[in-house]
Amino acid sequence: MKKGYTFVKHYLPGFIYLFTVLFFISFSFLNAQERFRRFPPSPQSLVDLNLPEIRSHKLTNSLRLSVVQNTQSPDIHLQLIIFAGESHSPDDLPGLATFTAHMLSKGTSSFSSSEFENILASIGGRFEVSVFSEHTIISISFLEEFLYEGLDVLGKLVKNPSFSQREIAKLKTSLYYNMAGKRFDPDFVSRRLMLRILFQDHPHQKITFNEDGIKNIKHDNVRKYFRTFYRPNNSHLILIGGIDFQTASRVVSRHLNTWRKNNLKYSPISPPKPVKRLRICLVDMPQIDDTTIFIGNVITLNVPEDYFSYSVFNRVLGSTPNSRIFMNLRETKGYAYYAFSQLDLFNKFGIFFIRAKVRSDVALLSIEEVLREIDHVMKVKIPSQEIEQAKFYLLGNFPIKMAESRYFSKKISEIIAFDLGEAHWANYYENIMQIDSDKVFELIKDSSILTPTIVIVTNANLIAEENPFIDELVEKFGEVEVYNYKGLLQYTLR
Amino acid sequence: MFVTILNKNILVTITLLFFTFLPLHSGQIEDSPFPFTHFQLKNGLNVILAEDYSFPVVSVAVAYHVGSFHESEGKSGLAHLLETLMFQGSRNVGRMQHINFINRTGGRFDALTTVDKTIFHQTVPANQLELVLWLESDRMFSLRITREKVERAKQSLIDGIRFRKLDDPYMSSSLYFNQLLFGDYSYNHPVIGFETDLRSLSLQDVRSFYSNYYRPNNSVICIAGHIDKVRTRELVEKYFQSIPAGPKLEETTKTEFHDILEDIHFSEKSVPSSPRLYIGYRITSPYSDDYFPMDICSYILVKGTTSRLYKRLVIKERLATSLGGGIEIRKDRAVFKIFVGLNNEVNRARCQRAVFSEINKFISNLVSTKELAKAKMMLKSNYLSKFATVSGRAVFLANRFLERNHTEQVYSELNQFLSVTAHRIMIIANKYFSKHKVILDIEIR
Repeated sequence: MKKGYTFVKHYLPGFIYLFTVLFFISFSFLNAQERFRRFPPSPQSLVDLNLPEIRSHKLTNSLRLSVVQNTQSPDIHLQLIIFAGESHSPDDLPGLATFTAHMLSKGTSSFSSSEFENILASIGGRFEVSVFSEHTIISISFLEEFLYEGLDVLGKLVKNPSFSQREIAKLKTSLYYNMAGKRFDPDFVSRRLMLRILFQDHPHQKITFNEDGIKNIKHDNVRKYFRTFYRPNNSHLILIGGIDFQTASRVVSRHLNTWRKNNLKYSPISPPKPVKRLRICLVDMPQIDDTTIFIGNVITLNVPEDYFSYSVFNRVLGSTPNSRIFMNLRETKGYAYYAFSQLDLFNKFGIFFIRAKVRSDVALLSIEEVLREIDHVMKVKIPSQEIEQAKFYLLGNFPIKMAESRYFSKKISEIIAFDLGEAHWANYYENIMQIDSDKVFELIKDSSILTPTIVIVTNANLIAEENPFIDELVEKFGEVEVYNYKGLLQYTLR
Repeated sequence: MFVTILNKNILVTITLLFFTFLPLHSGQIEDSPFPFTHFQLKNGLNVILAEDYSFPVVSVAVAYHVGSFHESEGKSGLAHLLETLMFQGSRNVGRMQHINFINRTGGRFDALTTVDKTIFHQTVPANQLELVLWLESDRMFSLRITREKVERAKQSLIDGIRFRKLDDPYMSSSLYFNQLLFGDYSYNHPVIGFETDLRSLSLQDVRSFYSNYYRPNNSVICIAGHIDKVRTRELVEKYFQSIPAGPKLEETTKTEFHDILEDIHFSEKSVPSSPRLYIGYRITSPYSDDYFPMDICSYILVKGTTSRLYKRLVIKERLATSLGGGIEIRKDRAVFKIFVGLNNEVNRARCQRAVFSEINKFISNLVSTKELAKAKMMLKSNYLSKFATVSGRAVFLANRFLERNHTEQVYSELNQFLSVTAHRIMIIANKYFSKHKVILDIEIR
């Protein structure tokens, strides 16, 4: 008994100590990890962005050519910018610019519409047209080994389109049904109505044409629009691919030098002014469950720096899932499926807008939250740290976008169509780096974005059952304009 | 009439016998598409590096050789569940932090689970490569799988299945079509899993699936873009070398993909509008000698607005509003599918006759040189566009490595397509389009 007691007295504390030490050693061994795993590594210094040079040349027929050598892409991308868009359609024929652009692929004196598709497929090609307010882009891309064939096709499209009555009739039907098919697309309807209101009484409003306009277009209208605007002295060809400048100039000249110019003269269109009063515009769409909201206004871009300040501001406010509006409406409040801000660039101005898809029962609360966020950012300077994070994001995101050919081509066409100058592209890092909190604040504190046009596309019946949404809108904003899906005003509630 | 058919069949048979003895490949041989190097770490992790200095961007794809194929019956949806859990936090990276880290750099990410692959992919500015390696190694090394996370992820996936059922009226019939076409359970059950299976998955199921399959020796990491190969190798070794290898996984041997014994024709009244017609054939295994001409066939028959079936069904006879299809690969099996969006129910039989009449014409006559050249250029353009960017390149390499278990043949793959001859197409088309098929009529309910 005494022996046992002695053992406990003398050895047990030692055992306990030893056991404890061993336990901690084995625990820390099992739990050990290399130190570098504990924290994220610091980034290396930013790698220089050396974008390819844009080299330009003018052909004898005044067609301007810009060549950007990009060896990464297996394709040649041709983008023919025609400096005329929907704003140049006659007032009684909105949609004519779009119609004419689509007619280009419907046959020439050398090949029919279906032969064109076969030729394009044989060179691994794709064809696309994009019509904007003040310009149109005809894009053809094809495998690099078919440079001659690709340019030959483009030359024939712009020199000798046939505009046959049969193809015009077919295109009228297909464009009509294509546009009519979007009448229940809340995003399409909202965006079109927002632009329609922002461009009221301005030539740009024609970009918001609806399917009815297509019906009235006639063969002569197409020919006249084409003969007036599709001229080398009103165009700029961009060639992107693994071709050097000399070769590109020579081959382009060979295929497009015989494209005849005309004596085109028209005065430039001045940018639209920002809308100065807040407007609420409602579209009742009985088929939908959720509510789509577009909140936007025209912004003026007085100096090149403004674009970069707005880009930084856009990142802070809403362009990504880490931005304020998304974090508020989706992550914190749970109102929205998505909520983003966006800056669309036009010639000498921009449209800044917020687009969100929200639960219908919180549509009004969502609008109030967005307006509160805008109000806050205009009154309280954005903290420097947040501005730096936004810049950090943009500096990283820009080369990623440029590495994709569609963004790369789009950026170059923007630079040329909007006459932004090569510094916009070549000095992107420097342009972003110079933006700070003060610059952003100075730019947006008097900006038009606090008096936006608010478009709400919702199922009014659904809302009415759950809360008096429309009454509250009228009470809060004084006036609600109700439109149909085509963007035509039906009545105003006061 | 009988004599005419007999004569035609004899003629086709003689033609086929004659061309069987011609060389399989001939034609233009092209250079390798882009350079890359491949090595393996001691723990079995395969690493592929492809330098490209066009832009200061780097793309990292970590691909695990696991997908729905590896799920046993009653455990469907496990791989897809793991894909979700890989963003829910690891030892040093909190829940959803992976996404936040990538977003803040201006980078992009995505993840994809297929029948036999799970790929995590991110593209970031070149100076952030180490961040991606840190993030990826942490979840490969020490994913934190808790009961709460599993239950939350299960619920989110179940919600997704319910949403898809409501949103996609073709879902259930497509599933049945695939079951008949692909045969065995391992190949034919949906990657998103079945709701009942997902509900019954236990914490232990998820943990053991992770510790078996999400290991370095069952994966490949592909890094493409603005990298220094020596430095990148050092970084990969730093972050991945000490991750222990998992259990040795048994190599799955190629299974026999038996012919369908007779035509299977069934219909389902499941859609409110837009009826469809699905047709499917079992074909050769991916990347076999027969596979390359079969892919060219897809460009001639169904791909694009200049394909034979599009011209006949949509443009000429206006029986259909849309057409799609081509080869679908699931691990070592491949099928040829044709999807037709019908104009209306009335013309269903006529449309089906038109499809088979085009197929008969196709297998009975040599494709013209012009048409074959066109199909090849369409294929070439699509093929090259897959790795035209560093982002596409990383994913392309990851896919090819897991599909083919090596990368050497990437160099010759395009040539195998481009060297297909018209005669070879005729032989192969006869071989597979003469077999029994699965036909599904999706009708208006």
